[in-house]
Amino acid sequence: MNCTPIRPLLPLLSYGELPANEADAIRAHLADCAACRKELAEFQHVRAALGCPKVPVVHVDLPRLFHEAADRQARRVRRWHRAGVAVTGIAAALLLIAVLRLEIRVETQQLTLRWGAVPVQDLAQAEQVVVRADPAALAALQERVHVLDDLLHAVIIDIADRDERQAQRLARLFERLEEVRVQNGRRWSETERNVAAMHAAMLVRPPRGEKP
Amino acid sequence: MGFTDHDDAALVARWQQGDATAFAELVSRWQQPIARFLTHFLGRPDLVSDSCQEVFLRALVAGPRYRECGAFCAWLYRIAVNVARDLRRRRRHGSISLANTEIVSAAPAPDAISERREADRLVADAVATLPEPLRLVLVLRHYEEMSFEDIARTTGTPASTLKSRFAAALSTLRTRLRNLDCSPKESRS
Repeated sequence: MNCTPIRPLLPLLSYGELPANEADAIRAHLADCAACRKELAEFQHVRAALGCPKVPVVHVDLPRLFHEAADRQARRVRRWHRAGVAVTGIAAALLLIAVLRLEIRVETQQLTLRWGAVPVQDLAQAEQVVVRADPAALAALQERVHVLDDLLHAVIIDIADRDERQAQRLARLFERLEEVRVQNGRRWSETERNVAAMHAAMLVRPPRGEKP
Repeated sequence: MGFTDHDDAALVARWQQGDATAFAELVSRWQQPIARFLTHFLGRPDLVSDSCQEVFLRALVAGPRYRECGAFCAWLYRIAVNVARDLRRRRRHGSISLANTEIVSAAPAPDAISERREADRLVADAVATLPEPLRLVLVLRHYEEMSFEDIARTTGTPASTLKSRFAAALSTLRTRLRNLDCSPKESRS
């Protein structure tokens, strides 16, 4: 076996990550090849140089963690709420335009805002009005309005549902937070009692004549 | 490090049923391993405490969506990797140093200490400037002592690819340390 297929495997050999038969074959090669032996030694030195640095001791602050989680949850609820209001607003505007048959027209020196049926005196546009008032088109329009109305109601119900669920989750989180607070308080007072007892035992000498 | 810890699974189940003490237990069990991983992966011990807090915050928020399959530890490490990535993206630090990290060793003489610290700093810099995929597999295999199968589960990368990356990381370190002239001296034997 020559050096070319051996060398890429030397890093894995230095960490004992090769199957036994493969490792044996490489060791047989290493017995005769000084260059590969040197390279393996370098990898072993790299492993030793990486060492085992000390790691800072970390204590996760649980009350802060629960607080931040509750804040994040509340922000998410607010975001959903804002999105819901925006969707509802757009849907309401579309509905209004559809129901009132709103028409905005900009002409030379005048702006016309019209809703409902076209007035009779607007004879010049009678043709168009007749086309718009086509009963089939009107029925289709009304159908669309109904669908939009249903959709709007579904969206509103969904948003209310989500709001309620989020509020329940928030309440549960606050309950958990309160439990942790109470436990911490209890542990703190217990620690204080223990420290006071230790202090008394170590520093306060018994009066003369009394056995400690 | 095994990934099929039944105690973890039981604690996760209790936590998902609303038991906050189970989550506290998971935190106390995993905060130090995650801190160790972040120390080596970020190369900035001063950022470890806040990053650790962020890891468990994300875990707490994402908890209801976690599906128990006996790999809570892999899930937590994935969150830690994402937190570290986000932090690096935000900070955009080029070279990162582990200058204030001490290496565990038997108490040597003061001269030896300063020489050793310098060598450690150079090694830590060499690790911190490795490309992220190589650094990730190096840290998980060398410092966390995970098997390649566990790393594959954590990162979602095939074990064979991880082995290639690990070999590449060691080769890069070997070259860099040789160039820096801080590789350990030839063995005395």
